[in-house]
Amino acid sequence: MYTLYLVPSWLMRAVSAVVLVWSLVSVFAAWRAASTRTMDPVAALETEFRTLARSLPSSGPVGFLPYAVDDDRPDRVMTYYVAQYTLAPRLVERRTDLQFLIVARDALRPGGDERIAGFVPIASSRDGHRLYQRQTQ
Amino acid sequence: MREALAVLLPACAVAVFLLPDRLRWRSSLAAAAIALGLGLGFSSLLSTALIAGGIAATSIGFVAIDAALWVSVAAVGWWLRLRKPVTTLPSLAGAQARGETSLDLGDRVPVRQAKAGDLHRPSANDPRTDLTDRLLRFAFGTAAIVAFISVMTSSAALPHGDWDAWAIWNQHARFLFRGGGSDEWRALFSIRWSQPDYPLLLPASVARVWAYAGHESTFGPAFIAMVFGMASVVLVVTTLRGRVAWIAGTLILAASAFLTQVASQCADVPLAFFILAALAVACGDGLHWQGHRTGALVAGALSGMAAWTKNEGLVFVLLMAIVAVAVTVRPSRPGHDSDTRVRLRPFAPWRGRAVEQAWWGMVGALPVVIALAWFKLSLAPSSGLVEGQSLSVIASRLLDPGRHAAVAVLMVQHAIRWSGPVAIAIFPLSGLAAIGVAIRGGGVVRTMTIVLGMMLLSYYLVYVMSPFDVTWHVSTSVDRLLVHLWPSLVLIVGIGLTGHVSRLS
Repeated sequence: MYTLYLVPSWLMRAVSAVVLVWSLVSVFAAWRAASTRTMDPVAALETEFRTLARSLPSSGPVGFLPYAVDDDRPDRVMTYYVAQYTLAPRLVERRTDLQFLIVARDALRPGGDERIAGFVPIASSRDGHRLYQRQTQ
Repeated sequence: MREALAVLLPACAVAVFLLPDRLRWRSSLAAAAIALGLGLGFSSLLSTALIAGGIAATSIGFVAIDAALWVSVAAVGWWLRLRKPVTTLPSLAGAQARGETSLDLGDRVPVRQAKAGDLHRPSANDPRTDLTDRLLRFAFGTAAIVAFISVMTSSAALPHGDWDAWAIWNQHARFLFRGGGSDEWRALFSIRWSQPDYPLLLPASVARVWAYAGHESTFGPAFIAMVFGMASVVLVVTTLRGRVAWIAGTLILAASAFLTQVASQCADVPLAFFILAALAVACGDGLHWQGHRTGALVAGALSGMAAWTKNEGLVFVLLMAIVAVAVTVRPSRPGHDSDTRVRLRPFAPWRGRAVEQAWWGMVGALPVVIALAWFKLSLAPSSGLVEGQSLSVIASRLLDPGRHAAVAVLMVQHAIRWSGPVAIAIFPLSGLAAIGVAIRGGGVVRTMTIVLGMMLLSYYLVYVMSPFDVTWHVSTSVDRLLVHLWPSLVLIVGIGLTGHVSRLS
């Protein structure tokens, strides 16, 4: 058995008491921070894309129209990622040469977007996200 | 609540092998915590094999095979227990006469105390120590309840977990659950931004829990996260003894970053658990099979599970292998076997046994390592951290002092702010305490501290070699990486303060 340095026992007790009180205050602070946390937007977005999933085949790739501007904005990246999360095991790809195309709200260029030429809308979510299908010739 | 059944079934089957013959609360709880982790780990291997074999997780056959296998494992374990001769424990009076604690009688831990600075054991018949003990237990209980409510509250606000959880771990689980029965689940390896090279312990566990539930519940992944978080705290409290155990348990919960990661549903807390459990079994002294063949097997399996959880676990497995080899090749010093500090070496007190136990450790890790090798070589694409990187580019980054300075400064800044604003600097202070006890404490504590230090160093080097923007890479990940080491760090400080002696001695 060894002694951990020659620290007086009253000092060890004092340090222990400080650590304990500090820990308790921190746990309560974490609780307070957790209780003020706002609801994550993922659940709401997921509900939106679930309504589009009903019109899609159960597997295979699905197109996702990139936003006309600010495509790398965090909220827009999140929208694309949540579409993939919701529609798995389908692969959601940022391209327009597929049979189905998801067009997120605000993704289209104002005044008409040639990227969706040849597609027709087949489903829409409550919040304005749409599913397009390539028109058969 | 079928999710709970899915988690408890393999845990109970593993626990049949791990629980001591005589149920003592500390070692039984520690064994139960380890059984929970190992049960989830091994069941994830089975689930992956079933899905890869074409059995859909949504089919009744998946659950039937899984349940039948775990019931069979439990039955075999029970049969082996019944065949095992019962060991006789020393009598209470005899143990007390020898100066052993009555609380952990079977563990036979000598309790001769250091004269100063000792928090290990209260002196008998002192009403003040009774009150102190009660206060410490009350403080830990309060912290545990508040932490539990805090995690539940966060989980309610994040039903799908945080960004990485739904973009990586739960997404992979959806591919496994929805795409099983065909090759559709393999599409997950095509999504470059979803870290497709990450191992499948957590996704397969979530998919398996959903299979038992019959649907994709958000409770499933949250429950698994909670199980790993609670098991980590329980393992620290039960591995340590006396008052330090309660203080250490409260200290772990003080780190808000740890609680945040539990609620996040990411794989960082499971990895932290496996690192902690492997170190506790290999080096700690609170577990009844410490120093036995079972201990080495379990330590090996736990190390392997760390690698099957996250890529960072591979570093840990490598370090544990190096420690095992170092112990076996280290020349024995004549006359030192009577010295406690020398005998506190990992795995075994003397070399002959060390070789045997290193061997059993490797046997324990082998099934997991084989599964991981199959996953990495035949399924997963290469990691984004190494893909397309030439040796000359990596070398130029390693030789860039500005890059080293930038990473070091960022890591120190984040380490100080970690778990702030209240528990500010809790990680660096605990790290300094660990270094302090390692310098003075010898064998086990020093080895554990070196392993954690090497883990931290490996994280630092990965940042330096990273192809991504260093500021972005460090800022978005270092808080989670520190969580990997946090429970083990607290355990090291606790073991160092109590100055435990291996029960084998």
